Amino acid sequence: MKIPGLNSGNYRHRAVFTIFLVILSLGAVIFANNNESFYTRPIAKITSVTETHTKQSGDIYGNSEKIYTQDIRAVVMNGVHRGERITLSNNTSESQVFDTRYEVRDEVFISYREDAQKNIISAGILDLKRDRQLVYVIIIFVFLIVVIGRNKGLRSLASVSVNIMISWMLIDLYVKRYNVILITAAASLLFILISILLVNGINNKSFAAICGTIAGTLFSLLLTLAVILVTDGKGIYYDEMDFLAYDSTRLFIVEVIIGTLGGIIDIAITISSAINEIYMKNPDIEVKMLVSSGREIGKDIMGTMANVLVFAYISGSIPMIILWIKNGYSTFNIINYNLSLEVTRALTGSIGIVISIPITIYISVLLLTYKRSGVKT
Amino acid sequence: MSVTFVLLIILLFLMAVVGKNRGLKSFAMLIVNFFTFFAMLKLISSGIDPVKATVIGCIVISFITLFLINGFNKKTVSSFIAVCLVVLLTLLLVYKIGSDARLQGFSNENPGRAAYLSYYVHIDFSKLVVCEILIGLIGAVIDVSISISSSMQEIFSNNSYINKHDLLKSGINIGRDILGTMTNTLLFAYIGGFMTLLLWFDITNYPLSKLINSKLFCPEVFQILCSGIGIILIIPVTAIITSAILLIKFPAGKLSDSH
Repeated sequence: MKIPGLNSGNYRHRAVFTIFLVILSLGAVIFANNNESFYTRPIAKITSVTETHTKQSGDIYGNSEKIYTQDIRAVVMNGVHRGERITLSNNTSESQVFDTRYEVRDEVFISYREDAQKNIISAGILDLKRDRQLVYVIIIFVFLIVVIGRNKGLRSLASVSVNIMISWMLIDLYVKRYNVILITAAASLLFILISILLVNGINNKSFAAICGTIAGTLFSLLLTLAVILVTDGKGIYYDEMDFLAYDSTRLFIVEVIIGTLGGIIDIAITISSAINEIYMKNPDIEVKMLVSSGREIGKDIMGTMANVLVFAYISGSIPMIILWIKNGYSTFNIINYNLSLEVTRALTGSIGIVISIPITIYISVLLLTYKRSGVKT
Repeated sequence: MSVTFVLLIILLFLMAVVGKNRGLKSFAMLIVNFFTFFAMLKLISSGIDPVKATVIGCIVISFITLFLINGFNKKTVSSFIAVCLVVLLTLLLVYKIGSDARLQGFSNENPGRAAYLSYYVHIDFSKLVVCEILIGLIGAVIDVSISISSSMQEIFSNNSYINKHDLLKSGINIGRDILGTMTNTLLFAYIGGFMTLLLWFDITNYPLSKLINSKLFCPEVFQILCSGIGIILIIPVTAIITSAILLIKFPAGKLSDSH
């Protein structure tokens, strides 16, 4: 993708880098398409599928659909039986809520039973092999972020990767039963420092953004805790998290902090950069004017930013909501009971965003005017 | 009183205090968007094609978000067109890969709350994957788009003699500045919701070779990456459309330069 007007800069560097990226991607695609022998689990490639309509399902809510049986022929792709032809069977439905409809050229993990002569007597499908598609999406993402974002895209990529690694460490420490509050606080601090310093560099406005984020996160955290305490946790149902043998409330709080962090960082950076910019253009500006410009910017961004979090949180529940609707739940019940965790999360996130606006404004203004009074005396 | 109700009141109060009139508008926008989202799901469950319903839902949500908060003017119109285009573009780009990966529905390994429900419901869940991806990124795409078009509008009104080429260039530069923070915002939002599952993977010592093929893990990674793709695509698309629309001379009164 070539965008007019962006062809300045170091051509040769960019050409070398692009070629490197293309070769790397090609290598990844070829590897993803031919990596069967690297798996210890047996894999088979589907060569033909015959589908027969076997029965009609029905339930008390009036839902009904066709259930199919797929007779599948496949070739084993790895292991001692490599190259052998096998037959498999699979049940699938129109909705495919729990089942999968397989197609020719799909690759699947299988399990099989052998007779005494080590011949396969029967085989069954375990799951689809999805690594190829994962590689494709990663390649599209990396390509676009590098081509359109250039250096800043690379920097974003670096910060995203580092953040993913920290999250993984956080989870690992959590499983090892370290003090949850301590490790979450430490991880959050790392997240904040890395995200802000990588984007902004080390300077005054980064400092303001860091303070604003910490204060905003703490405030929204304490507020949520207070509300849960006062209402005795009424109206929050943790059944979504029941399968883990961990304190659900505590885990939920950790999730809320991590989930909100990005939004608050975003707000704090925007506000502190803007106030800094206004101050630099006119260093003699009155404190009151500086605060009110900050508030104007805050008004502009808070709605859309809250929107970002609401949709990001709620999108994951879409299949579940559809199932609930089709199982006769009312909209009121779904929002109030079934989605209580998602709604609480979205509300706390939005509160964190709104509250971090004035906090960041005051910290930025304080830092700037403190410096000014320091210079004058 | 339930937790959610108290939090809702606190949010309303804070938005009113910090944002005054526009804060109240933002609050109203959130509520209306939430119900638009639900109306969209009702349409899907009544049998309308999920992909079509999602595209319509996204257009309605961006219409409400852009025009209710920022008024009807050149920058919101540019952003609106750009968001609609990017929704379609992302759809085209990820539909084939997403449906090939069969990410739909729930996994037998960890069905969660789906286990107790009747699940032959005559809705194509493979198409709901697209719905999840697009709804997850729509908020972020709108946010990035309006930030870029507002700044371009600001640059244009400070310097009306700027040519299209330079305007486009600064639009893309502004976009690059936002890119890093917005990808992180979404990353954290998704990881926050994904933690229970990550914990489960860690506790059960899920092997990596199984993880990267699993129906539990892949959909989440797909969603994060596709959101990233949407955020990146919106940058040049908004810059191109805004630079074109800002330079069109409309007859006076039809479309003002700002609200």
